Amino acid sequence: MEIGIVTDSTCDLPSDLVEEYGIEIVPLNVHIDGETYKDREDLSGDEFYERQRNAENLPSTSQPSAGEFIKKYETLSSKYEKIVSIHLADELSGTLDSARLAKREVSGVEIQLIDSRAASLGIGLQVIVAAKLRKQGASFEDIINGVKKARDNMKIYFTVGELTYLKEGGRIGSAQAFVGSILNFNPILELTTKTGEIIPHSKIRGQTRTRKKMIDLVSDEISSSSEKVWLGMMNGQAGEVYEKFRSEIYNLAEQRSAETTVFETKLGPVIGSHVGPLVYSSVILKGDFLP
Amino acid sequence: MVMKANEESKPQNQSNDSPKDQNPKQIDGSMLISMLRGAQWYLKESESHINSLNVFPVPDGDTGTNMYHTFKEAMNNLDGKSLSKVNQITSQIARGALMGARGNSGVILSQLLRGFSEANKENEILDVEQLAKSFRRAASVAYNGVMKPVEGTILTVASKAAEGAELSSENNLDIVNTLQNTLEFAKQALEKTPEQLPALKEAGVVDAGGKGYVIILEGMLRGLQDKDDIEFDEEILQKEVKPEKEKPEKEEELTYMYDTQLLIDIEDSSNNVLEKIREELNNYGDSLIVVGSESTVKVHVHTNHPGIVLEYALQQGSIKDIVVENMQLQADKKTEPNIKATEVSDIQKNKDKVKEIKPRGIIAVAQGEGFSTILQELGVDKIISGGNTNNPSTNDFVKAIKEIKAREIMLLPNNKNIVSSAEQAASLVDKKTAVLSTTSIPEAIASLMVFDEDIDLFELKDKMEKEIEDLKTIQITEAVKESKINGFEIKPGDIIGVYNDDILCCGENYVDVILEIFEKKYEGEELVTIYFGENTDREHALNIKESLKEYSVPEIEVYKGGQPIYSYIISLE
Repeated sequence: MEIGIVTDSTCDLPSDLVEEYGIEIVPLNVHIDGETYKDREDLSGDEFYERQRNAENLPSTSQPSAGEFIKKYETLSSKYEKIVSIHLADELSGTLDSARLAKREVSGVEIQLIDSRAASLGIGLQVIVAAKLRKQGASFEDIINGVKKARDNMKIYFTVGELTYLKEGGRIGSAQAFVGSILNFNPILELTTKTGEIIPHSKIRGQTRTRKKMIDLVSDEISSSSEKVWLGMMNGQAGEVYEKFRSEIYNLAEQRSAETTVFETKLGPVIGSHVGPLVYSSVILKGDFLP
Repeated sequence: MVMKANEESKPQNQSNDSPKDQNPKQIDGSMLISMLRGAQWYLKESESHINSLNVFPVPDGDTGTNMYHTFKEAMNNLDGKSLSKVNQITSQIARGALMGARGNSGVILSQLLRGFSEANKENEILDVEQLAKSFRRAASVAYNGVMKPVEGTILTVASKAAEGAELSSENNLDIVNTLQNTLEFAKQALEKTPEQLPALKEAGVVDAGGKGYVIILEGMLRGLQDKDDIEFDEEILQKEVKPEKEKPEKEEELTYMYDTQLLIDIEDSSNNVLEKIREELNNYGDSLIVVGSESTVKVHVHTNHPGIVLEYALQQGSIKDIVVENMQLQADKKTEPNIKATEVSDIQKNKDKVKEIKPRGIIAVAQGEGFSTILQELGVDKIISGGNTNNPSTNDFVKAIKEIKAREIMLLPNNKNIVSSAEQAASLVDKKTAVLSTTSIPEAIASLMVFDEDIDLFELKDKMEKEIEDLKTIQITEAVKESKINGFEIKPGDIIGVYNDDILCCGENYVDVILEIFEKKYEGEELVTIYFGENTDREHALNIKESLKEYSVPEIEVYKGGQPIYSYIISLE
């Protein structure tokens, strides 16, 4: 293997996949009441949500320092000639800024940075595309193109129990329009990989109806399509609603005759800081180019 | 991480062999370290102040923390190394900052330090000319290190600071004067940042990162001057704190119109009542202040819906000392005396022109303050009062359509008997107007959930009408006179349930009638919403909700509709 694949902890990939595909991870940081934790290393998703509920102040997050990227790249430079480094949307985080600085500092290895314009399994599935292509012996260029194609063919939808976390963390973008109403409704938001921004998709009244809409969004994309599909599902601690959502997604996947792969994960502390515990989400990646 | 003692307390520069020179022409290694320690000390003291200024690019309030931590990491890299030459020190600082850079502002700070270091590769000591070059190099490396440099940030401040240093160098000033000028230029640039970045102006703050840079320069100067005992000058935090918020200009619309203040005598006091109120009111406006005790709470908020705020407060207890002021009027009044009579009409014209014309306006017919508020929050621009016994005329609609500053209009009649006059009005006006076939307010609410401005008006009409296909509206009222309808013998005071204009059932009490309607009409819908009218209350509505338990409806929500005539309007969807 001469090509290294690096991502950051917000890819939320389960550790078995990380190991299986030999993926290198640089963690972001979570700050809770004055303490700093390495995302998904010092603190699991469930531990985090517990802390989030009990913390005096809302937890905050920060990008990895350039130094952490330098260390990672320098270590890998003895093993690899080239590195593909795929990261959390530039629109949402300074992670790629740190990676850019690090890239200038490290010699002896060619580094291609890619803005996933996504978060969580949105990044994760792009990373898996890269890893599978590498396994198949694809060239550096083909891997880069494959990842970008995956990014461009990806849809990410999510719903949050409350918009407070997105608002407080400053990542709410134009979904700000959804804030503030006497009438309860659930916002469904899209993380668009056209730009990496969070945009409002729809507002739905009632939890059950919201879940149905979340299912419809997946179903509309895949049910009438005969292409290969990768589906990602994530949640914080959304409980029963998510369990139902999950089993319906599996049903949808089983009904398809074309190849369908389902990925599932728990949203880690950094992403959880910005969306809150009641979030659940889907990633739809479609196309016969998928490895 | 273990904090080192000298970072937690004021820096003491113990070993100073060089005599105290008030007007040095050069900076040697130990002087530079004093300057850097001063900067670190100043940053630490200003950390939370800088955090409070942080609104750009992401208002997450951590700029001060990130800058301080980055600077601290940079300084930690000097520990255990005895360095006497400027170039050795700056290169260690730059490396430490790079490795430890935290957050956006930390990254930029690390680039400033890197530039400073790059300019000093060969220098064992620094003279004024070199110092100016170092500040310039710092600014340009920082600009290059950012993907999309934005003016009005630390970058602008750093660049102006360099100008101050360069000017001093050209005039052969000494080090202290040069640093003073550098600082002065930086401060001036900082004060202008709100003019360059609208987000800052809106929040009434200067740029947080820029302030951090000013603090660093101030600390360096102090570190140089008061080597042995640096005093932190609190004033630097106050001097530039939140420059007075610009008065809204005449053309500008206020985001929130009403300054709303009141006192609440809390009914069920609990420990975290302040926090709870703060959290729950947070979404209704800005400038929210909630202070007081467990029993009495003072609320201040700028909002567009003072009614909701008051209604909310009423749920917490009894309210008093209510002040609601229209801030737009206040702003207008303040500027008016300066305007000559002849100019008023011009200004008015301009104002109208500037006032944003919406692509799409919404008009809805409704009665009841609860419904009005809900509809307005969902984007309705104008509510025409009307309903079953009070049908608005075609002319009412025409007037409303003309009044709204929008290129296209969506009209929601919300009653079968009102649809035709709405349609007639639509045919009489020049504006492109679509009339939705909504026959109840719950239908209006459901359809507004999918309102958008990006698709064709009539496509949108179809889309909105699709949302109400599966929605059932049930209306409950009390009979006022004796009558015989649909085989029902109705006596005054009887409760009647109406569905699609037909009387579905009638009885002596609300719960029985509503249960009977559910028996006939409930088909597993996932959401039931109960809107209670002006002649009943929330508690009664909650009883009804309770009695519906046996139908195991997944979700039942209760809101105040405030409508006349119908005690309850219930939607099933």
